[in-house]
Amino acid sequence: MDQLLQHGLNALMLGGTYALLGIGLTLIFGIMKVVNFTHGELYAFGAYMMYALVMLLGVSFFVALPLAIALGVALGALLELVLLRRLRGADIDTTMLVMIGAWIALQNAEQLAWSGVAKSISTPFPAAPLVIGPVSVAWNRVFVLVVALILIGVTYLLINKTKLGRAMRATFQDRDTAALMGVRIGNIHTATFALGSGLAAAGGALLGPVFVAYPSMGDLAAAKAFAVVILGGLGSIPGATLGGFILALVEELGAGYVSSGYRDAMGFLLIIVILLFRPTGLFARKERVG
Amino acid sequence: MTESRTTMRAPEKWIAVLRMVVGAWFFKSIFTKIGIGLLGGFIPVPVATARWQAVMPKLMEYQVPMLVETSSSGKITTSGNPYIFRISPTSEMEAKAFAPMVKKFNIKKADFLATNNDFGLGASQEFQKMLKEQGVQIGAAETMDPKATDFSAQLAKIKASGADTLFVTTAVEQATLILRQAKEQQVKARIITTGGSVSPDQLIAQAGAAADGSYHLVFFTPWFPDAVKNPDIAKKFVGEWTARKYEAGGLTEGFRGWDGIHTIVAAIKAAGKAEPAAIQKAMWNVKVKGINGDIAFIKQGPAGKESAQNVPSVYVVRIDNGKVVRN
Repeated sequence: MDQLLQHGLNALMLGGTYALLGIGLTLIFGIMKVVNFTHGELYAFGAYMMYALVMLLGVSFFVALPLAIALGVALGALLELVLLRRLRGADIDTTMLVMIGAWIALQNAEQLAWSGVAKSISTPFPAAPLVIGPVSVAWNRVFVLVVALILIGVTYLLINKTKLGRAMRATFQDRDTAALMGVRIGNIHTATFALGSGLAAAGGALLGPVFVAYPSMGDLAAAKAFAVVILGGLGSIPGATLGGFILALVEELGAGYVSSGYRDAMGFLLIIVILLFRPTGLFARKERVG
Repeated sequence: MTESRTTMRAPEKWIAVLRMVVGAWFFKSIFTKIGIGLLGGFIPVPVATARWQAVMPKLMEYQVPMLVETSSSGKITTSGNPYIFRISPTSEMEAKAFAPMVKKFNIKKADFLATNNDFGLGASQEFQKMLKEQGVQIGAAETMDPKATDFSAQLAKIKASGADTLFVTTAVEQATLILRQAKEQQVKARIITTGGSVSPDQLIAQAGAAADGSYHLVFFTPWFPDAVKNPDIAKKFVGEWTARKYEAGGLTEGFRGWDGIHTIVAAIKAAGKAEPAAIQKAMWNVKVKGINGDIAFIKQGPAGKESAQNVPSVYVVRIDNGKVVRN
């Protein structure tokens, strides 16, 4: 029973991070129809910015976190303006190849800048874990979950309750009509990619201190983000959120009670099964086409 | 008039691409589990053993000898490739070297956490075999993807097993995270890393206090150069490394290159010419005073096409209050 409780707690903590990774990706895909292969590198960028700010410049952890996210937003905006804006109207394969190229370039740039040696980022949280009866969890993981839930909530409100969000949704539903109604599609694309990038950087900035920062850290994060998005339904923020928690729970219980060797495989097996029955994922809606 | 149609929100083409990504990852996980090395494309081959195995058929084809300085899998020297000359220990050798210490550590029940590849699985199997022979009970034997960063599920299972010792086989980055996460989950078992690739200096720097109390099997002890078989060479190497301002954490890996290059140079000198067949023949007779110890080769594998295997030294060190101490 204690083991089950520990798995449940672990899944809760892990699910928050998976959800955070997924919503940035789903947002960009949903609105821009761009499969963002740089998502993992933006995640790594967030972690490295935390390392630079906290460990090299001595900035307070709590100040460094929003700064790292802001830098992620800026990098995302730059990528959109330099790469994606020029590709508007290009076919899907061209865009995908350019994003794969950007992914490789960014990862190698990280290795060049920071070397291949993993970087540890210190946190202000106590080293002793939070102990609740028979289970325990690190304080920094609790912090990650809380901030992840706040960021997910803020993103949801931004999309659903603000003028910018309405413009984003209008672009998502019908780009041409949105443009005719006065929405500046170019700005919406930049804002969307910057927001999605900021969320990826937030994931890295939060998880870099939990784990370590290293150049290829984004690969696994991106794979998980893709899995979460496919599970939840492309373009659905609630879907990505719930998808993150479902994936984490399946991985935890699968590794704990079936085989740890198949931990990653179990999550993806679940996705394949779900896609067989619901090709759009758990939460994607049908589109209304004029 | 607007017409409602049940088209999917995303083009099917995109979903197909994403399915492909998920599918590739899924099958990569499956293939890694059953020990098939995948090369090229997106799919990474994370450890040395798989790379060596990929090169081996080419050695046979081009008849070129190869010196192996990082691999631990027994397969490398037992598959009948006479061009392989390995100076690093196999997992079996490492387990045998540790065997006399089982009593000293008073190990009654042991758990395992290893990477899901030849390096990790091979070490896990060899250490389990050795421990069983000594009457030690085996608890949880868990594995992990070489790129994984979260081990919470495995550690929860290991914690529940109640073993007194946890053997970990992986690279230093994952070992760092395992030490930290084991502390978070209050895993009480003593942690011993195997494979020689977990630099204690890097662990101290990255894992901090979580590294205290952990033990590590290493093939060179730069902190105590007097403890190795050829202390003068070890001191010279450490001095040169320090003078060049390389990171101290690299010493436990860097020595492999030194030993390897000196072995090759000795073979070329003995051969008198830089030709593959002559070097291969000369390699069998080299006697090199290396940092790890005296390097010489014994035969392993099927008769008539044996590979060459060195019998290296293995040491156990402990991290105590942020310092590496002799065990």
